[in-house]
Amino acid sequence: MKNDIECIDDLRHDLAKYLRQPLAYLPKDAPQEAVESAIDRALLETRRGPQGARPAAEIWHELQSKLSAEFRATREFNTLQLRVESALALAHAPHPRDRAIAMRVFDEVLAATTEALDRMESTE
Amino acid sequence: MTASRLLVIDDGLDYARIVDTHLEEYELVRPTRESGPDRIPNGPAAIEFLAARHRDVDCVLLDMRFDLPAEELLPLSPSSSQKNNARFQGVAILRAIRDRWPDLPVVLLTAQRDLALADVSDELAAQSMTYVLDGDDLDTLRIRIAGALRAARDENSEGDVYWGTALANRVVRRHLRVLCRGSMPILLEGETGTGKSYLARTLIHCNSQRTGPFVVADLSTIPRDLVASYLFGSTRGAFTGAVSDREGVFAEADGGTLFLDEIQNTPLEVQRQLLVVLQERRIRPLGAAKDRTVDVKLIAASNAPLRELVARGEFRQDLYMRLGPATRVRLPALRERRVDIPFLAEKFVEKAASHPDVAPLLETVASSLGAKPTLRLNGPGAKRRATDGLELALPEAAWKSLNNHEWPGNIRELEFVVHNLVAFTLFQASDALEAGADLSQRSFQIDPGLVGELLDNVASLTQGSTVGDAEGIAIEVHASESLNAVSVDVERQYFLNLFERYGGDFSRMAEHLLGNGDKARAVQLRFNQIGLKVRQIKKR
Repeated sequence: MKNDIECIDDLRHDLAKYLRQPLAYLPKDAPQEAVESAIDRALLETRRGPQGARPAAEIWHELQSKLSAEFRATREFNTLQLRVESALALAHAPHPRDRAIAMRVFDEVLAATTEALDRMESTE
Repeated sequence: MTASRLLVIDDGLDYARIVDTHLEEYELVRPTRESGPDRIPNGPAAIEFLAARHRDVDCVLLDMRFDLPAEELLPLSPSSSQKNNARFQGVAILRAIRDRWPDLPVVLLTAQRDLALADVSDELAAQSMTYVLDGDDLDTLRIRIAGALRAARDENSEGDVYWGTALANRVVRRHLRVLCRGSMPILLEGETGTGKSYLARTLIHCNSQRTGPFVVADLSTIPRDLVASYLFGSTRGAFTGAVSDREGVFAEADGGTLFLDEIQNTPLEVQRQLLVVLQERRIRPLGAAKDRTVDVKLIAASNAPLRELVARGEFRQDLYMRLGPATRVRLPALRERRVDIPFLAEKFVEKAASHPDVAPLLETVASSLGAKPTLRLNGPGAKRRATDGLELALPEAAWKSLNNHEWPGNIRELEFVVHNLVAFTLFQASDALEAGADLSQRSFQIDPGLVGELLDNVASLTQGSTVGDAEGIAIEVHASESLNAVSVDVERQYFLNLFERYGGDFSRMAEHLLGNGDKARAVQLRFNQIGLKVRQIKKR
């Protein structure tokens, strides 16, 4: 369970820093082009390192493989999975994509991580 | 105006990009590149960079989490895991920064709702000049950076006359800046004249963000029987002489700050009531049927260590505990921060120069010499700076006298001495000019004998007590034909104030001045010697 908590905590961090934050820090009057670019970069070049950029979908799949079967069987994981998939789908959604909607989708994933962490910490 | 310079410490380029792209009002410090987003990528590199160039940085933006190999992480503690070192790397870097640059503003950047932050929130809350970004939008980031930069400027100027460079005082300042934020009471302890009242107003109240008034209640001046009604108020007829409803100081300070000076003078029976007010934040005026709630930030001050009074049974332990040994701040005596005497003396010279009694004298002398009406102190070791105004030169012997003095009245005593030096020197200069002397120099040498004489006068004035016992007593210093005349004038005002304070009771005045109420006769003799007559005063 401790490993699950750390994994979901890592997910929260990445969600907040690499997905939500680039959009949140755009100026209120940012042109649509900048919004599209920020959404794409957040989802498709999520973590940039010496080995190049990794997309969010790849990070999510790697993270799932580290989670215990016990956690993957919970309602909280199912909710989280659905919401992450919705967020990942934004990368392929038809343009123009709305910034407020994208932010809300990311917020919903964050909320799902909170529920998952609450459950794990209460049963630990 | 030049833009403030921000240094980003982050394993990625995200924050540097935000600053570079969106915060055009700031200049991004670029450690490696000439253009584009740039940052310091890890803790060891950050410390190395700051060691060489911290003067080029106005504010640090520090990420919290660094996903880096172990060798690039500073350890959070000797036993912490690499995972924890990475999660809390911002805290480890912050600690390393604080060790060497305690006043450098740092905004700690955390991803929104970062749960990891809860584990270190107490440590962060206890630091000054450290701000946690608690939102994740440009406006919040701008506000945090602007707040950090403004606080750094305020810290350099706030309580300007008070702060020096002594380490003891830096700790006090940092402690107070943290304490002033919450609603917890603060207990200021320190000898008389160490600046308790001044700091309560300038630092704590001003930084508390409370909108209500700052109310001062000096409990040494309130007759014991009236302390309860003075604090909590009273209704008409509550006791003999209560002819109308009266609001207490707690009610007056509602929404603001109440400074209870000399709290050790609170009668024991009132201490119990005070405890209830602190616990329940409710007061009940004497004679009233109902309580009322009050929201007051309480600052209590004592010139005696309350813990010792508790041990002697003179102060309630539960009230002492409630006032909070944890929020107790001891202000150092001036003799414990002698290193600050030159700094304080310089500040007090500037302050004296703008005093209503001194400023006209300064203008007269300055205009006679074609100089600007400003005054600066120059002592041994001080940097010689060009000035368009006047200068007071204090010879080495005089500095030595100031440095070697014990300063029982602390900062207030120093201010008093410096004020008199300024007033007297300007008076002499003015006198000389009137007499037709040709003063070509704008620098006036202070006679070391004058300094010694003033210090002796203060000592005699404060014999058995200290200048600081004059808390709340306003004394005006007027230029006169001799130092002795100035001194007698001051002494006269002091005696008159005490006479009024103690209702003409010489025993209590003797108790105050000499710590011995039996010496009333000696005090009365001195009273007459300096030309004060009881009958005339009572007729006024």
